Amino acid sequence: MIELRDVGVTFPGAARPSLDGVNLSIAAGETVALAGPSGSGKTSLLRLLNALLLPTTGSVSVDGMDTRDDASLWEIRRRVGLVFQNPDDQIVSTTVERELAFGMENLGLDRDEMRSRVETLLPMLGLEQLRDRPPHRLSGGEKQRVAVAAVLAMRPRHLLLDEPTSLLDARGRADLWALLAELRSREERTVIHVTQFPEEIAYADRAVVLVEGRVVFDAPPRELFAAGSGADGWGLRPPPAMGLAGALRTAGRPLPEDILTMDELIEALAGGTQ
Amino acid sequence: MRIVLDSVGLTYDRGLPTARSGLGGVSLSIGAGDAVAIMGPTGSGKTTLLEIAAGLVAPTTGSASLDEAEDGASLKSRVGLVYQFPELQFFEETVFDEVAYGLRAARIGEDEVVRRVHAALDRVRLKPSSFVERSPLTLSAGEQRRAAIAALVVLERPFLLLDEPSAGLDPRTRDRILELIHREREAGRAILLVTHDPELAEETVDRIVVLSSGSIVADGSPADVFGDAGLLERLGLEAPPAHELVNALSRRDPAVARDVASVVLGRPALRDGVSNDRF
Ligand SMILES: Nc1ncnc2c1ncn2[C@@H]1O[C@H](COP(=O)(O)OP(=O)(O)O)[C@@H](O)[C@H]1O
Ligand SMILES: Nc1ncnc2c1ncn2[C@@H]1O[C@H](COP(=O)(O)OP(=O)(O)O)[C@@H](O)[C@H]1O
Ligand SMILES: [Mg+2]
Ligand SMILES: [Mg+2]
Repeated sequence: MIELRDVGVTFPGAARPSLDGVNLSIAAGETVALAGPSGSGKTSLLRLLNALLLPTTGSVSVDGMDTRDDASLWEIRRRVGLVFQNPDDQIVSTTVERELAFGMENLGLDRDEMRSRVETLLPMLGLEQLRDRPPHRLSGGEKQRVAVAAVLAMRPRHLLLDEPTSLLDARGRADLWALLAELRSREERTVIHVTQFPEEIAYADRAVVLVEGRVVFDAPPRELFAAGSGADGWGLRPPPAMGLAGALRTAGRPLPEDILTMDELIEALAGGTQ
Repeated sequence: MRIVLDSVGLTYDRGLPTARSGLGGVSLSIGAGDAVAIMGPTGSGKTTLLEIAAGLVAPTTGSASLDEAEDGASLKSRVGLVYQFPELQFFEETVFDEVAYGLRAARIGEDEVVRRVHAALDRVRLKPSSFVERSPLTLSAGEQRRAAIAALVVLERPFLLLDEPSAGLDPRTRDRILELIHREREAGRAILLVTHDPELAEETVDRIVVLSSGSIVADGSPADVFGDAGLLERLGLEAPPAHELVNALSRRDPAVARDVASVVLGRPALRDGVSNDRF
């Protein structure tokens, strides 16, 4: 359980708070998409959850532990894994394989366990061929997959992903979502991901929208894109399938009103044929 | 003026056991007013290609040159490359100094520097009065990206190369990048754009070059490339949503695909087994 109570963050010298009056409570196992314009405080919010950033006002707790409590710091970092928005800010090791081992070593895992996790994760993220390469010399998308793998290797109970697909191509994105879905089906894991892709918001159970440091929306994604929700005013586009369905309806092709994803649209148009 | 790449290839760590190919033999020519997108899977050589075209990295085979240019002009002096995550290269204390850096290095007078820095910030939609004094390190990711782009467009070089300029940006900021590319095009600059964002490509360029494993595997209009379902599938690339829909439907039910295409595609641009005869 992750709880933010009346959280405010004001950076030194800043004219106004970057987060303001944020109340959120996220149950273990929930999948939450965090969206909002650039500068709205999404990254700051994630950094609060693993105590990289402390609230200026209010409190943040993870499984009952207050992030300001130094004695809990290690346990909080063990439970909360954060994949950074920019992989270069996260990667520290000289080879891909060592980067995956790095966090596990800090957790004190034994060699066999580490080896087995590395061997499972490398192929899952398409990194087998790259295992001996220096991460800082990989391409952006490759680095991003290394950063995700390194955090997954630690099996954090709460997984935070800050725009984890921003550098991936379409296949890389689809593969990562399939992998996360599979991990969730096997063990309970909270996933909080920041995304700019409306379709990735649609994957979550719950969408939270930040605007200028405040939570302006917190409900299932379907409601976010319903008419009149305000999404447009917050700079959020509906998933493209919704727009296409609208255009087709206007052109006289009968379609259900609640289409959100491309798969639903394809099914509605060509359902029954294979 | 043209950038001419003649069978350029690059092998990293040549002669070492760690040697690996970043780019095969690629030939490409970009002239004034052209707008070209490079697309391709991660690791296919897109960034390597931009670095060579910008004269920042010498190819290990083939040649990269600036043709039809005045004496003394070089790729380096006429091509500006905005790196992926350009914000990582910030080192000045204020946004103003960051954007002014290249102009001052070129010994341009301070009045002119002020004028051009303000104009460049306006062009990337960062209000000069609110941003010139700020430390670049305290900006949000989207603001940093735009400041970093401003530091390059301020130089007004005839070729603008952009590596994933919209990666990680929210839709509004992305639209500003799109707008910025349009404006730079209108100002006569040639654009070479690397992107995974098919809509950004469709809306800003006339030609898409597709790379795979260091070689060009397709080269055509956005409609051609995005209508080639087989190519996209093979490389794991995405087309704009309207094309994705039509491509997916044509595998299921070609008649439905044609009907949907007539509504969602601007002009019929269907290939790959779906004929155009209905339109
Ligand atoms: N270390 C910092 N010092 C000062 N201001 C910061 C710092 N980090 C972020 N900010 C400011 O806080 C706001 C929120 O930033 P951020 O959490 O990165 O937003 P997002 O991830 O939604 O783009 C922005 O206005 C940004 O300029
Ligand atoms: N500095 C480098 N040293 C060694 N190999 C590199 C270096 N930079 C890139 N590569 C390799 O060259 C290939 C092409 O990389 P890159 O041009 O970055 O691809 P893209 O931009 O299409 O993702 C990849 O296999 C990548 O791992
Ligand atoms: Mg962020
Ligand atoms: Mg690249």
